[in-house]
Amino acid sequence: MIDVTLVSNSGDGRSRTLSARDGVLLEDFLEVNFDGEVQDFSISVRRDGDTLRVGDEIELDEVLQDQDRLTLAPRKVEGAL
Amino acid sequence: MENNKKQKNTEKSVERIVRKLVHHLNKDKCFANPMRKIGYLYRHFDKYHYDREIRLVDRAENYFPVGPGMGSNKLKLAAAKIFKRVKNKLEDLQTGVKNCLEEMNSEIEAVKVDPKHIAAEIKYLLKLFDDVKYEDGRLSAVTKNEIILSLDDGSYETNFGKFRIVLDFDRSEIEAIAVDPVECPGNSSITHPHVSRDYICLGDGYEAVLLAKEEYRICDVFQIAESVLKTYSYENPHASLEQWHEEYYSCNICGDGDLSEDSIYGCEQCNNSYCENCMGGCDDCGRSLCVDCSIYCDDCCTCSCNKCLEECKNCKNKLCKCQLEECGTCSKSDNCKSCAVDCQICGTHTCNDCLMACEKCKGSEICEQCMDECLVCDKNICSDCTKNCDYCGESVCESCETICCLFKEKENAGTEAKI
Repeated sequence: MIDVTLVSNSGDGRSRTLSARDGVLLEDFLEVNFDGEVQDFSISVRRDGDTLRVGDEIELDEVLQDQDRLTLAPRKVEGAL
Repeated sequence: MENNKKQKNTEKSVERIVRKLVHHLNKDKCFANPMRKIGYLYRHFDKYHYDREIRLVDRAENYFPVGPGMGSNKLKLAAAKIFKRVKNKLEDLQTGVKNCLEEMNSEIEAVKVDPKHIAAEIKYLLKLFDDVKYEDGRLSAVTKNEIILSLDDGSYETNFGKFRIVLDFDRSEIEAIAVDPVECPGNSSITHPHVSRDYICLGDGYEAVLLAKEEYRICDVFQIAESVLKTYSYENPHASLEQWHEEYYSCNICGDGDLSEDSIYGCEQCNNSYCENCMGGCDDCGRSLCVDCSIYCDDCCTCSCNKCLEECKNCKNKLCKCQLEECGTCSKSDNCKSCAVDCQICGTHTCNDCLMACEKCKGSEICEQCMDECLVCDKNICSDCTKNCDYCGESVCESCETICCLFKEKENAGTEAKI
């Protein structure tokens, strides 16, 4: 099992550390642990303190590793007064 | 070769930014000295800008209608908006005070910022944004693409250009400074529906940005801010998208150039355009006039146009009706107060046409009521020069007083003799 930190920058923006099986794909991981529509978010994967992929470069069949940090930033956020 | 050089420059640039930023972030983290702890808390408290909130309350008072022409719907709407903003800020203030008190009551851990984490964030930022800069606790970067917004049906498409997003670690707000500002025609301080005076209203992204900032997820802060700029929210923008497409007019009197079609008027006298603040009018004929064409009378507090003013027969000046004096003899109001003469005997206002002269005392400013005619010599005499005959009581002048009845007798005798 691996530990992956998921940060969703919608809502309150809190991070969660979640467990997943070895060799889990990004797409599968998000399907289980994330409620929103993936295409509405810009995804980045950071590994060992370095950024692997960012935004549109991410492939959903990326294999996640232990201690990976996933950040999802919404492409649309409504501002207000 | 070129690429290697470019890469080395980028790495040096990242190193420089990381070193300065980490130093800035860590300087408050050492609490060996109790005074530093207090200094940190004070800056944390200050970041909510409470003094700005108090100034906002003062400004709100200036937006409430005072006096004529100030009760317009536009100002009432502005007052309502300011009231809502102040209320939101006060609630924010309340939360800020509570958080600060909690921190003061708890132990603050002196956790230093990891330079590797910051370096990774800066490298990531360089991929997503252009022209990354750092100075005195302020990290900024420019969006790679121009921000273009439109309504859902694609109408009112507006290109706001690129924005420099600024993250100030000592303040709570995020700035969005337009590189080539496309100002809202009605309000030049608004450069985007959600940006006013270079501050971005994060709306739904506020909490996520706050947390990302606390955890030094710098790129997340910038990405969320960019997402706010790229999203048009129909609810409570500083200015609606349509406003960038409305036609605006200028007032020819005061020069205000940000007036919508509803707020501009035409003067029926000079044909100039004028705003609400330069509105005049004629109380007599009711025509719409600008302030320059409206003549205000301080005495009767009315406004008149040129056509409704009266002309003094004597000096030819054009004046308000209330400035003309009524003649006590002919009742006409032809002369102004300056030209109207008071009868030197009774003091009644008398126009020049009705003034008479006494042939006895040579007084020339006497009204008809104070004039008489000598029965004997037929001269025009004033009441001061008039005498009454002791015998017949008729009006005679001083010279004819003694010969009044004798003269009459002689006349009568002459007439009888002829008969």
